[in-house]
Amino acid sequence: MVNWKARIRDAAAVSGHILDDDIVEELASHAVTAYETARAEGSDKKEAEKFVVAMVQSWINEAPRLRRRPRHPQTSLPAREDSPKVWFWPWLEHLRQDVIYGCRVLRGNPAFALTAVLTLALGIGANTAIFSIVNAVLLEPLPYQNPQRLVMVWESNRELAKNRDPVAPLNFQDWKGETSVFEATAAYRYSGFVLTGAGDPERIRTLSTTASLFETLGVGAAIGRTFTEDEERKQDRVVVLSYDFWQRRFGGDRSLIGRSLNMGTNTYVVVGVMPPQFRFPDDAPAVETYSPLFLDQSDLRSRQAHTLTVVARLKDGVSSEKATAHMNQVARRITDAHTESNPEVALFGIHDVFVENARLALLVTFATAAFLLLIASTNVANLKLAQGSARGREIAVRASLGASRWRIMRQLVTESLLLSAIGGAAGLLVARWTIGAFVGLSPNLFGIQQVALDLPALSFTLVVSLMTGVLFGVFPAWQVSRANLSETIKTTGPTARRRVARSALVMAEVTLSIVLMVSAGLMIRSLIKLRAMDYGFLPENLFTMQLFVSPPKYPADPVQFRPRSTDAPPAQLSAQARLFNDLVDRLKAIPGVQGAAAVSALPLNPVGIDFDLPVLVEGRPRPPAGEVPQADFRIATSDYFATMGMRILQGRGFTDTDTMNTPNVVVINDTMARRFFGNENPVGRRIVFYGIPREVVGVIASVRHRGFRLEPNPEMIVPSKQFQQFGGMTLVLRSSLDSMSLERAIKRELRQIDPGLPLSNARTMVSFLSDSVAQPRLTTLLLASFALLGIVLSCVGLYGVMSYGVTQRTQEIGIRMALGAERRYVFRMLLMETLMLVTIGVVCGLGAALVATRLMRGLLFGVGPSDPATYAVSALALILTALAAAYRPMLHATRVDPLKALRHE
Amino acid sequence: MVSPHMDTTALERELKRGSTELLILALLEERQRHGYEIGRLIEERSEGTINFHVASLYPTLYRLEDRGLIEGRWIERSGFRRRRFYRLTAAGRKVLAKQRKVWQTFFVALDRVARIRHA
Repeated sequence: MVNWKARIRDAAAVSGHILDDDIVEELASHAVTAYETARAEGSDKKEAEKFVVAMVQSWINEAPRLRRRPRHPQTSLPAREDSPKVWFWPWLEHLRQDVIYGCRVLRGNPAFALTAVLTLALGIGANTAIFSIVNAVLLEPLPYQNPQRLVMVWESNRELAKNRDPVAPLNFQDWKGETSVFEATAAYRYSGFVLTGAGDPERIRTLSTTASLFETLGVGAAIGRTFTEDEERKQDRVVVLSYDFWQRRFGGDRSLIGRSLNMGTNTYVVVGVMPPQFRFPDDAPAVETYSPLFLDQSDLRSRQAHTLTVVARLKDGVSSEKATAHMNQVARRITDAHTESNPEVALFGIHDVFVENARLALLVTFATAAFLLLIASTNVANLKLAQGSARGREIAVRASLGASRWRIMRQLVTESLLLSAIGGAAGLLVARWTIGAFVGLSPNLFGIQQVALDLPALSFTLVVSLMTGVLFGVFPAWQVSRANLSETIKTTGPTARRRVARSALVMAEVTLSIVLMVSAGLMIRSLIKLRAMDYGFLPENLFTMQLFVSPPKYPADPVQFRPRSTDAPPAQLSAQARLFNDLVDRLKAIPGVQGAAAVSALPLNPVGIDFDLPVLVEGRPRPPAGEVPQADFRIATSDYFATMGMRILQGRGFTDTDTMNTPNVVVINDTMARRFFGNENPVGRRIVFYGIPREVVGVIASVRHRGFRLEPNPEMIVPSKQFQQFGGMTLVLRSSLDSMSLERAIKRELRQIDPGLPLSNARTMVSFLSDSVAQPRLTTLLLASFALLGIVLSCVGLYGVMSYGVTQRTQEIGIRMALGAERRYVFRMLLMETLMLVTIGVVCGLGAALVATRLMRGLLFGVGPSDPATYAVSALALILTALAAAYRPMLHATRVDPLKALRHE
Repeated sequence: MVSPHMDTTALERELKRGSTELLILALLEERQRHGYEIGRLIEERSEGTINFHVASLYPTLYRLEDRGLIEGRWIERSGFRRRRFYRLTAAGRKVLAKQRKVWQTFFVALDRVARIRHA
């Protein structure tokens, strides 16, 4: 038995009509009755069916008259037209048809589908990846209780342009009483200990903090407890471990709680372990232990000892502005009593502080990814336009069969959405790889721990895919659906218009590409400048390792803290000092080593003694409290400058004759020379720090100790044979031997002196340098890849437009040539047209780049956002690439055979 | 209205259009019927002179239903398929009487003027 209901519905759908269920049922009932009657009247099954099928078809031809069947005669018509049943189901049915039809279209043109999906996958994938990172780094709340209430508080002094001075302990003590704006406050500073005992000795990163830190952050220990204010006050040696450190060093041993660890010269009792996700502060490498902050006499001597970082929790209802205003009053009150104190404070939300380094780079990368997606969309729009031309006949037929323009547009946009949905799905794969590569390249950058394709990322992809689909779907659909039957047959009208539309799209692509190219170009130039930057030493062939020693085995005689009278008997070097000097002497003797030295704090990796000291110049009046200038202080063995390749600008470096028995000497950098001595010659002058006068014997070129962004500080270096206390030193070897054999050699030499000492962190200087530019390098890499992709996509687009244009104009070109135009002329004509198109795009792009790259200023180094060279090179490169892309179609045009061309139509 | 130069097919079409409602209402006066039956009866009783295409039959039924002259409902009798039956409403009955009167008068007039006898 025939299912007449289905038959009727399908027949209607095929001819583009949707009939109401009710009427379909009634018609089916009619058909069945007709069939039964025919059978009863003697027709066989086949005849009866044939008869009814013909009847049904005749109904369908009149289907428009059968539509809109009212269901309840009593109700008025308009009310029912609004009902979802009347409108929603046909809509869904149309959608289903469109999707099925769209799939068929894509299957029918796999080259187009593949190109479009690939293009979209790249664009959407890049965006999803960057969004995931932005989401993880910038948007995810920090793992503290109500993190939006947490602020970092600094001292500030607008007059001295200090906007984030660490807080003096004395000031912090006064601030603690300010409970009207803060619920809790905590102060901390970094310190390091060498952990000895079970396993290899190891230097661990410790945060010395007030007990209130845990309460302020609202996070407790996962195992055991955090330490108390009572323990802090009594200076109990207790320690809380980070989860990762506990796992790494102790294998998650729960019985560790209550046991003692040898940290430095003391033993500390483990009281707790923090939860796995806890991380404070948010920088890398992560803090491994938390111990109570002990303030000593030097901390409490003056309000100039800026050593603490303060974090506070705002009281409910207190805004950051209100707290700032209140704390400014407090600061001014303190300044009234103690003039050396900073008169202002600066409050920043903790999240802003933690992400400030990453924010600009990530946002610029995100913007770049968005540009790439725009280019991809434009490209697909272009493809769709070309495809639309090819489908002109199909669309014209549909239109002639009564499909409205709206209906055709809807069909085309649905196809676009289908494409973008597939592109989005493929984009997820691209995003996964991108994120993998990104995290692989920068495990510690931007504070990324785990970036994942989570729900927000998936939602983002969905929204972006849909938006992209609409973006590249609507314009071509609108263009293509303008065609009508007669125009399609007559050809010229819509084709010319569509060529203009496609040209506009190419110009847009060129514009977007230029912006990408300029941004990438600026980053590349910055990176080159960074690479070529003079750090003040020669990083090649330098190998470094760290060595930490501690009492009681290696006592440090505190003799250097007392002024030494000239008639005192010759002093002995401390065991620590002797160890380092002996070791370096041994290292120098290793075959293949050109130079060896040790320094308390290596440039770019200042582990060890690295702090600034107040310095007085002998023979000058002592400045008032609060104005004593400071300089960074380091200790180095005699060959340090030569080994590092540092330049001595004036005087001399250290010699082996600078010992405890000869006058105390110091070498300063030229920054210090300028700041302390101006135009005077510093060599021969004496400066005083630690209460000991030292003669300046040399001036070296300043070294960029703190990376490329920060200008060098004033710096003074003393010889290791005139200093007793080191704690830790970094060994530096200049040698072209490979790292492995150097490490083995150093270990061998050290074993001869003391087999129990910990050597760690074998690195080349080049790798430190490389790390210091890791963020700009990564940003550059991303921007450059996006720019490259953008250009490739634009060129594909341009190539498509040119090929298409030439094909469309075969007849015109043929006529021109038949009328005597030379091939050269045709080529020139097309060349000029292409140039025009690209040049307009380039000019617009340069303008847009001028505006857009201003946002990048903070990422650039040694190059301005409107660097003319970058703009010129970008423009030229793009024009040449574009011409290269257009060359083949242009050449093809000149080979047109006029006779064939005239027969083209 | 019929124009002086109208050809015969056009005349038939106009006549059919004018009489559809009357025919349907008259058939439903006897008893309730379904769409197929209505179409079939018109064709049989007119001996093939008048037949309705489904595409005009059903819309006419719905229109009449809209105006409250007839009432349709799905009925399932045991042993039969579900069908939609239409029956005349009171309002329909009045309209049928009125239309009959109009046609009556019209035919008398036709007979007088054009000598067309009606049964």
